[in-house]
Amino acid sequence: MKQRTKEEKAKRSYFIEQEYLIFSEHQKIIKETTFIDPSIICNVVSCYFDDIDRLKHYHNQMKLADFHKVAAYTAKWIIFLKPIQLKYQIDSKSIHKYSLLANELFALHFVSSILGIENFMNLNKELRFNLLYTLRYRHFTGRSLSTLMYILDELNKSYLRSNNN
Amino acid sequence: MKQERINYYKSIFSNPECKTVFEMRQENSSEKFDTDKAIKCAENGSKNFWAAIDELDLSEIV
Repeated sequence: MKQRTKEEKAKRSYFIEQEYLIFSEHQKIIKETTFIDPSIICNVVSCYFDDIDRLKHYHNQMKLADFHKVAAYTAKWIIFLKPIQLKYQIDSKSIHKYSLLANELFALHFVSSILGIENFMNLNKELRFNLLYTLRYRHFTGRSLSTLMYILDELNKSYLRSNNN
Repeated sequence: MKQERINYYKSIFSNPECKTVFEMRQENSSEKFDTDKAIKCAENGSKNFWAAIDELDLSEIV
């Protein structure tokens, strides 16, 4: 199995950190009540590459993981390992729902950027809600999430096509 | 007769056009993952993302 270099892992960690900065920039509650832990990001990246490299090893001919897998497997480890943490100064009475769902919301934001979904509003309200609920409470694997990402990608493409016509 | 049928199946498997769904998908997904493109999308889409989340009733989740 391929050994990933420290440079590859560092670049991917930096990318996730950049995504968090954009994610928190437009939401005051997230910016004020949470922070992202760099050591947990590193853990997310290592676990992600382990999953992808195992897949590539199993499927001999797989040279590059498609966008659906990149999105799905990263989201999976963001949810499982929770790199976004609450700041300890927060008064427990004032914890907002966004703070409690920070990792699930970040995972959704992250997959939207990987799949090129610029307008999340294009997805109907029930679908948005169910995506968040799934990430929070349902059991999923990297593979099942990849299928979901494929469907989201197709929905987005279909919306863009109908907009262009 | 049995050998004939076996030879028939061997001929199908040796056809270069006989690809698995996986092999066909791999041919179509050779584009390298582009972090700059993803960052650009995140920057353009972040406001809409939060507007979309603001519409949801989260009391059923937390």
